[in-house]
Amino acid sequence: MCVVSLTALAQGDDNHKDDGNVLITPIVVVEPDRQQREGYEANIDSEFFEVGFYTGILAIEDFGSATVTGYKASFHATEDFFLQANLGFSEAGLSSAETLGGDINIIANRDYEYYNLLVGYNLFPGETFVTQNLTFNSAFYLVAGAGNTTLNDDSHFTLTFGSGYRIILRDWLTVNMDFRDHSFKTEVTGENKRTHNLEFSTGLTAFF
Amino acid sequence: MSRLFLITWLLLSCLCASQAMAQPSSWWSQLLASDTTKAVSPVKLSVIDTYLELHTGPGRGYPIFHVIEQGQAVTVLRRRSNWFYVSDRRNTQGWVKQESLARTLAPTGMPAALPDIQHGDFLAQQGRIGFSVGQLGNSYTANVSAGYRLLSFAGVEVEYGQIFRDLEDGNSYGATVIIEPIKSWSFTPFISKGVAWQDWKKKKKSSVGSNSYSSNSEFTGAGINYYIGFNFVVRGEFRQVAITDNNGTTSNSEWRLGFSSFF
Repeated sequence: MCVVSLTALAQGDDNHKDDGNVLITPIVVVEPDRQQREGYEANIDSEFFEVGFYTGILAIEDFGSATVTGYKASFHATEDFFLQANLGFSEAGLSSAETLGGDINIIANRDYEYYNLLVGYNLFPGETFVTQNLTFNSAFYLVAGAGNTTLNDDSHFTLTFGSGYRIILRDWLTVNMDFRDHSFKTEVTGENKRTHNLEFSTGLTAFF
Repeated sequence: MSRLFLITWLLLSCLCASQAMAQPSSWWSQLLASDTTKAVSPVKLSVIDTYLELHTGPGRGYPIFHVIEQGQAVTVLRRRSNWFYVSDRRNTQGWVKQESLARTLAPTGMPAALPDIQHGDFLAQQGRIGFSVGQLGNSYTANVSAGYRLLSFAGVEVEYGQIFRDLEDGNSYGATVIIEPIKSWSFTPFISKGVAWQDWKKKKKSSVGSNSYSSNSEFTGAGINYYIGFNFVVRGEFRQVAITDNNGTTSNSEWRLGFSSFF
């Protein structure tokens, strides 16, 4: 035991020369070689997709307000940008013209269905402090895009833009609040005009 | 309401199927919540940079609460966009940016293949989904597309979309080939060539002619891709489209703005 340790001590002093100078052996740093890589992408669980549903109120211009329910799916491309698709269902109520005109029907099919494809930007990521001990990651985001609205069996090219706020309750569960404007041109009321249909909704989504 | 249930069921089953096909063992093993070993062993790497910073959340602004020193082992648990959730040997867990994690070594001593800036080589053999909106003559178009990058400079795409005309509505199904020769700039030009088939339905206010008809088209186009991050793409495209229906062939130009992401 003692012999081994003495030998080790003697070898350890190789860097010290007799005149008191210390020889420093430089540390070799291995730089990653671009050409040779080991693939690990498939083994890492990636969470890109977010799927969920939402419900809220849709104010259909000229036709009153109605409940809207829908499904949404998001794809998170980077920490800042995401792509989102929404599919929503609502029903147009009676317009003022129809009520005042004695319960006539301007439109035959009152189903209001829309889908849209949006690009979103996480403008203000951060943390939400609900109580002294309860904190969630959150983000305020903007969305904009286009899609289609089917009202009275006709398709209308729709522009959608809005903002939302998401709170990430668990790693896989998020609650959102969204405010959106769906804008399309329609001739349903007799003149060709651009309508703005505001939607305020809240929903739950799951990450996977 | 029954239509809602049908769509819910279809959506869930499509997503379950695609997720199961992509990552069979890790996704299902998480579902089963087994407390014994996972089906896929987590990725272990060792740090070669001076230190690796752990953030409290996967985004800008989240503070650094821990560092992992050089030579220590990290286990990569999860990934969300360009952030990775790692833990060190004392089970301290946090989020690391992908650029920092690229400077690590696999247990064999080879560098870990985590993404870097050159998007061309990295994006080969990757799928892409996205959407685009555009203007074709006087009509607007909206399309969803799914694509696959066969080679680092070429890919194929299928798309489904709607064309909004004054008197009729159209559905369009198409396939495209995209050639993108330059692999490393943020702005890269490309050329595209494709074919599409359309189904048209007259709007209610139009009472002339038959109610529905179909057409087909082919186009040649060119455009520019702008890569934000390493997998988010903004695309501007100009297409020369020739549509053939019962009345002959008309030629139109189309401008498109698209957003898509590789995964």
